[in-house]
Amino acid sequence: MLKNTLYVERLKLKRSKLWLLYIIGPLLGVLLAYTNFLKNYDLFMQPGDNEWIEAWTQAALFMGPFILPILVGIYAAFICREEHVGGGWKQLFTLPIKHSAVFLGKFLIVIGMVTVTMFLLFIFFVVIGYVKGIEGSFPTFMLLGFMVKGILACLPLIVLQLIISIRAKTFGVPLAVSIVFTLPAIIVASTPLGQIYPWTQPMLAMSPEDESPIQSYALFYTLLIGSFIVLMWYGLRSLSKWDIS
Amino acid sequence: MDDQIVVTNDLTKKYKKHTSVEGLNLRIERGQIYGFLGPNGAGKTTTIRMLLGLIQPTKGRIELFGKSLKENRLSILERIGSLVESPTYYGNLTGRENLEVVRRLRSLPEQRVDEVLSIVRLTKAAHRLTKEYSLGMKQRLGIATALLSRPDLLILDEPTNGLDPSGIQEIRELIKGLPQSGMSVLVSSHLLSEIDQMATQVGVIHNGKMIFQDSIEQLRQRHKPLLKVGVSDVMEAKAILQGKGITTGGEKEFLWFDRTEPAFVSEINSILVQSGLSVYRLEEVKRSLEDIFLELTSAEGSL
Ligand SMILES: Nc1ncnc2c1ncn2[C@@H]1O[C@H](COP(=O)(O)OP(=O)(O)O)[C@@H](O)[C@H]1O
Ligand SMILES: [Mg+2]
Repeated sequence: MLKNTLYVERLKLKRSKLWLLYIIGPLLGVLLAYTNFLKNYDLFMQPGDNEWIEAWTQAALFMGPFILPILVGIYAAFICREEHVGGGWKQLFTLPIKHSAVFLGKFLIVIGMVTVTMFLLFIFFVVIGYVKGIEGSFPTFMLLGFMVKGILACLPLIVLQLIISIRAKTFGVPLAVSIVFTLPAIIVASTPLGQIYPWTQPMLAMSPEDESPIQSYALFYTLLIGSFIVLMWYGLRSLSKWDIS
Repeated sequence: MDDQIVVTNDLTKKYKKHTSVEGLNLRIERGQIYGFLGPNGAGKTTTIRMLLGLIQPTKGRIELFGKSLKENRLSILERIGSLVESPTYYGNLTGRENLEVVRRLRSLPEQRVDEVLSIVRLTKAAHRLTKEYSLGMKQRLGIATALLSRPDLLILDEPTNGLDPSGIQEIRELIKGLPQSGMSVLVSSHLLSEIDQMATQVGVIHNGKMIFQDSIEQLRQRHKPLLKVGVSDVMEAKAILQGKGITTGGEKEFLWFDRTEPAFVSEINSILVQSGLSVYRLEEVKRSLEDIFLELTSAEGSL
């Protein structure tokens, strides 16, 4: 069942310009990161520091609290837009499919999109790093770890943006929400609220430990999973009570 | 009992203060083509949305195929094909891909796509993007989608919207042939002429209430001509006839009778003339179905 749902969700993206976002988002993040890193090289590099890791800190700083949350907002709004425009919801919900399967299908598709984004981020980071002449041993597993953690930390935000995108009939509302709540993300990061603020969670998960305000990662991931469960529960519940007109 | 396809009891939907559907008792049996008739805003789409579980009733029960919709939503939807209001389409996909979406979600065999495409005569346009489709083509795609699973119950909400006369004719012929394969059909419209030409049963909804529900023959019965009598003093004439045991509907100017056989007409005439009233008109009035529809939907249907 879920297999068919996912196949159909992917089919619906056919001929879309999504690949533009996949490329622009990470590329922008990586370019900003290296520009900032190289400009303030002496500030960031202490004796014994690894250039790659310091450069990554900058990438996490631009991707995490800015580009990634806005991309998640756009992705979620994007896959709901076609349903709003063409009357897709009423068709989906008059087929013998559970409400939860529809929601999970959309959820998994956005995870897929975020994964593609992270993969390209990794590629751009490495390639542009070599082009710019970054030196030192390349921390492959550490960086891959940050990618995976970044994807995980997007989960609450994905669910939240999906809930908004399903409810709002226009593309503008979820996008506006995304931008308005993303802007203070970096400020919220240094407050206790940061660990449950969905727009900040990706940044916290993607930053190296010594650069991050987090004291207990166990607590952070517990809060992350907790907020994910609460949002998912709410999303599924509200969907099954939704009047579709 | 097995033949009751749709049964609703006291089905009601309120939006804030406004009541869109009120106390509806809908009955559709197997093999019927049920014409759901009512002017715009009468509550047809709201009713259909409730039947499909898209919106929750404020009050009342819905049973489809003898099972409660609330508890058996998925197994019931398995047996229904539907087109609600405007047809669904993904503009960036072709007609065929749009059908493929539903085919996959319903796990149906591939050849069904070709079959329904040819039924609605979209085979040639199947590879074109649906955002380039005309309204009529989208409508036909919607009907094809509804037919895809060979449903036991087909629900079409104003399916001829946006079609040209030949398209309307085509859809009508298509619908008429469906019960042969055991299908039951609920088709809504705001045009009596459309329902008249395909339905076996008719339900007329007006301001959210069912004001007529029976076979199309019963509706046609009301088609019988009336006798219209012009007389100098309507009030007195009524009283005189009352005395003779003949009741009559009457407006300000005329007397109305639902019998028109010659013996009856001359009897009325002689009674009135002998009582000293002057009869200046005796007329047989034929009523169209449109008149009956108007009469049903206007508050003061006098007969
Ligand atoms: N979501 C809604 N909120 C408020 N009123 C609604 C809603 N949907 C329908 N209505 C009202 O319910 C009535 C019936 O509408 P509808 O079922 O669409 O009529 P029909 O399909 O017969 O033209 C109308 O007066 C309409 O304005
Ligand atoms: Mg309608």
